[in-house]
Amino acid sequence: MPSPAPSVELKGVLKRFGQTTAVDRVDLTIGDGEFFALLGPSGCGKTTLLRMIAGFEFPDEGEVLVEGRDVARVPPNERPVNMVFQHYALFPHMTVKDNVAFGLRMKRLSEDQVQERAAEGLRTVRLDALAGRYPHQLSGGQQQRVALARALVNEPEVLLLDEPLAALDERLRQDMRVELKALQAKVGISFVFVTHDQEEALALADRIAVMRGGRIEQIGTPQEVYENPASRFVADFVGVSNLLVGKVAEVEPLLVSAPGTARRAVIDVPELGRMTAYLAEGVRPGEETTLCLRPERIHIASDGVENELENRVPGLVESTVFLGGEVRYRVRTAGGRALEVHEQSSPLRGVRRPGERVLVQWRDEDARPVRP
Amino acid sequence: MRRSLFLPVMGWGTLAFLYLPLLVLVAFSFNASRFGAAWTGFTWDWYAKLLADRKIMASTWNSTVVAAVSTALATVLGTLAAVARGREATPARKAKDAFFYVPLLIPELMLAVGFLLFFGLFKADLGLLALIVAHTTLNVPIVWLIVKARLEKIDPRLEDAAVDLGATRWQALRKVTLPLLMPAIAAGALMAFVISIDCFLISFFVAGPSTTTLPIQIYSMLKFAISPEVNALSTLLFLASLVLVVAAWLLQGGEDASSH
Repeated sequence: MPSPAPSVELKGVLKRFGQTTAVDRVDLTIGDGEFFALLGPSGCGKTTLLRMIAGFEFPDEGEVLVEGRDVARVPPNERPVNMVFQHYALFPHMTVKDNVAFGLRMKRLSEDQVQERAAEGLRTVRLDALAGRYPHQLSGGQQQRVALARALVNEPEVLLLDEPLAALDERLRQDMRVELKALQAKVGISFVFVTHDQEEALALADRIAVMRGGRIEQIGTPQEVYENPASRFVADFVGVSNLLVGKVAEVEPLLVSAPGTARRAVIDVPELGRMTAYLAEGVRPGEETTLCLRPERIHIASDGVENELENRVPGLVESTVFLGGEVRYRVRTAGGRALEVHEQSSPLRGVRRPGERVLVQWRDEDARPVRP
Repeated sequence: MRRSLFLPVMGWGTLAFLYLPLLVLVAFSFNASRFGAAWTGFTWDWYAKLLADRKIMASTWNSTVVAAVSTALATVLGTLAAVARGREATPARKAKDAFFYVPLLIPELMLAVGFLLFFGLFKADLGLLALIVAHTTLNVPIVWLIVKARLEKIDPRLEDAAVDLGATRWQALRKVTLPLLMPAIAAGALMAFVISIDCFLISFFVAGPSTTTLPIQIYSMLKFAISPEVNALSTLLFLASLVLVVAAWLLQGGEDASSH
């Protein structure tokens, strides 16, 4: 049942610790049932933001609304949200079942109800067989599931997760991503999680807020953030990118005059040469522009073959990394610029060796202008 | 080959240096001869005499009462102080910490004279009450130190998690932090009890003429001669301390092994 108010709404939220501003006037709306990621490097304010939604920090300015109610000054134990802590923070002196039952007992439910709902919570995460164990007797993945059950039995409006997968090893992390996504779909409430791992954010979230220095750089779906990064920072932080900084040489006249249409422009990039790309309307010759070119958008061909794409630059393969499904090249252009190029591996094409002369090429629309 | 013997010899030699006097004491508490160093046969007589000696029994009772009450008080006060202290190491907190260490570091004689003057100032009746106050003072830092050390190892997110699950700060302390501190609190209490039972100097200054504790009793018996009863009494005191210290040590070690 969708509620009219968004799950979480932040309005002009500001938090200072001494001289530093951890969160700087953030506005954010998280929809009902959304899987939302706060992504950023350490110190960007993402954890402080999460702790303000949980109630462990009170904002110095602004409003924090959960289900339409301003909870900015409400302590954590009176908020309809629960949290899965980094490293899970399971109570070491309690069994798995008592851990899960803790919140229910705090609510003073009858012991029958406590037992019933705790058992149900453990079934949801498939841990009913381990109810009598202590946390230190569990594997990392099992501890993670206890932490999830312990939070979810309280039926929160929003589940907050602080670096939920950071403590797990790589393989388990892959499995838990799938499981977490399925769990969220099943319980249907909003999940808000903090991560510094862009891959995790892309894999899990419906929407991502990329944070930097206490502010939100960009909010969007994983595809939007990846394909259309708003800024140089986002382009660099989410995925790998070739950032090309150049001067606009000329702007082509509009063939079809429609407002808001991007304009094809010729850009001079030092060490690379002339290239073309679509820039925002209103761009003038002489202006500096920054473009983000993803490594997998660059095609690599043997020098001298027939050209297909608009932008073509000759170069030398400098290094080759074969990763099974993908080959990663670094190509040095004739002008001296290094470009990252990722190509799907193929037995037909084979792998190019360092020193090989190649022609790298890309389409106009694949180099995206970003805020410097 | 020669060099490899050096360390074991040093190790065992040091142990012998530490424990030989104690072993001699224990051995002589079973010596049938009342005088001199000659061994004339094994006997339990001196232990039987102890139990019949009313003075010794009275001082044992005093020692036990003082130790029990001062331990209880010090355990509560020391634990509260450690919990109230919080966890982050700010400069101000480090300075406050130093004040808790000081009673452990300054010469005991100074504390003893201090107590004597202090109680005299208030014309307080010296005796059991004064002993309890003095021993509590001595014991608070012990308990505080042991509990603080344990508290610093507890993840502060555990209390946050409890609060997140609906507990008040007080409930989180009671249901999560205190149970996890229990082994350290018990170890602190045992250490405090041992220190109180063994305390001589401060007790001697503070106790007054009418109240005697075990160490004071032993001292007064020694004024005449080293008697086998003293050996027997000291042996018992040594055994009791040993058991308590080992128990405290196990509590701290055992809990470390299981918690992480």
